[in-house]
Amino acid sequence: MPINRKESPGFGLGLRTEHYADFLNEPQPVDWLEVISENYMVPGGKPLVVLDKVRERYPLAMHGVSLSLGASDGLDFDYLAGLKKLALRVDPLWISDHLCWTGVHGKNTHDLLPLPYHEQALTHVVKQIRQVQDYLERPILIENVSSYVSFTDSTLSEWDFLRTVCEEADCLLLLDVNNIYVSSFNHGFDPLTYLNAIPPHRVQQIHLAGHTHNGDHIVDTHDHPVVDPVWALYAAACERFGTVATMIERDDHIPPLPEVLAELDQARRIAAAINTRQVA
Amino acid sequence: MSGTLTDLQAAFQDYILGHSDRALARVESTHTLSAERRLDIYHIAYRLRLADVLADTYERVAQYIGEENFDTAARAFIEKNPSSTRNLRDYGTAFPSFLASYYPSDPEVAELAEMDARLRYAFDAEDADAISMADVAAAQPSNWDEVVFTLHPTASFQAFRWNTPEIWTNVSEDEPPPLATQLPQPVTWLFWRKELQPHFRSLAPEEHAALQAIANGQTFGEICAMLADTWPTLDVTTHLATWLRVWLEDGVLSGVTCESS
Repeated sequence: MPINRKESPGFGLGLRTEHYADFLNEPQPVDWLEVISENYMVPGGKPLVVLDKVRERYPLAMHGVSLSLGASDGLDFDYLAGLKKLALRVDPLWISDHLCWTGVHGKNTHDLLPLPYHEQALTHVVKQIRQVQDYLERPILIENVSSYVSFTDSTLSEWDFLRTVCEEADCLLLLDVNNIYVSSFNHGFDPLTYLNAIPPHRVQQIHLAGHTHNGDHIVDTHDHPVVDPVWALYAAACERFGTVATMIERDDHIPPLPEVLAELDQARRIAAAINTRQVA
Repeated sequence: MSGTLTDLQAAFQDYILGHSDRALARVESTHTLSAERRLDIYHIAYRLRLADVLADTYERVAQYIGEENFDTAARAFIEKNPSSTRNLRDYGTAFPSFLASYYPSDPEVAELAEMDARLRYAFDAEDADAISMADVAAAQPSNWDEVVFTLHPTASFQAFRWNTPEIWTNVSEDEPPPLATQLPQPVTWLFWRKELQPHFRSLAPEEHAALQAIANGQTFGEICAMLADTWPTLDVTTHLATWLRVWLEDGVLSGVTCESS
């Protein structure tokens, strides 16, 4: 029987060092937080002390950037061992990473590099996701990345590739709505075509974020507020996927916490309006 | 695995690292962006990302030499040192030695980088409970010669030939740095973590020798003998008693055992 998503824990934020004191000093109106796994895959010291304290107050999701699920030269089991150790400490809601690769042959670009969308890549990444899930003894969430190139090798659309990977690996999805928007602009497709191809029961979490528009291309910089077209796409996602755990990502030019909380309230309002309409 | 995925990933990575442009033939152009411009987005982002990490890890170096100079040095380093670390935060451990050759006439720059690196290490090195005088008493050493202390895992040493810690301190407080000055003798500094914060202080040669001997696992008796042998006029017992009290107060030790027990 295929894996199904868990019930949504509600609305969350990505935990950033700039907001540590806000979360430690008083309760904040978030239902859960997402931590970047690598920030806490350290031997000791303040990061882990803060992590433990935050964990006492909030459910946490673990989000990684280094799993390199699509790397053609295999997985890094030392990294996976560190990830599993952190998961034992955190007892996370879930563990996620990206449908991408970050480097091969002992090098790392520290970027979320897109895969070519063809059968060979699909078979390979499905095998590696299954290996990861077996090793971690839990299903993982894979996130769609923003991309700035497309390959002559590709024979499938990104959404067909993503949907098939999810089904064949039997994993869940972290759908980044901003990434769909960014890639739709960069590659010239209709973002709704993408959304409508995604199986709702696989969508466990949604990311929202801002980006930088450079005129002829958009870069997923997470350094601005969410833009209106992405809010509109989020509304369409709520229509299709129902109640899904949603959070705002901010990684640069990080504003005071109340500003990010205000953005999260906008997500709440959009989701609530659609939920009310659907119930009615 | 072999075949097109392996080839494509190698070519893409080579483009990002600046080793070859054979990926161009595998990337589609759009009506607004050529394959080259599309690939360059990744090529540029890679360098920016690594330069940001270096500027974060070596923050005082960047402040001391200025952002523009730092960026130039960082980019020269990045071209010669592709990342091979899984976690981005671990990139750039060779940057201090690179700066030593990049700024041969300003050796304090590389020393500042060493200091930034020591403090970064102390910040999130392995946890261990520091021991107190009560822990030493509880170990009930009947023969002090056989006592073995454990140095705290966050502790490390760094010798400076220049007035680098003074420069570092001024820079960190946004004060004008003193003129870089070579010291008559190199001075070793101790770096460690106390109450979640990195600390540092200078060590006299005798105290450094004693702490280094602890790090090497030597017994108290062996350390006494080493100190007496190296510094015949030193009042070893008095000094060790004083140092031990300071080490325990500062949380520099994390274990005590008696070899015979």
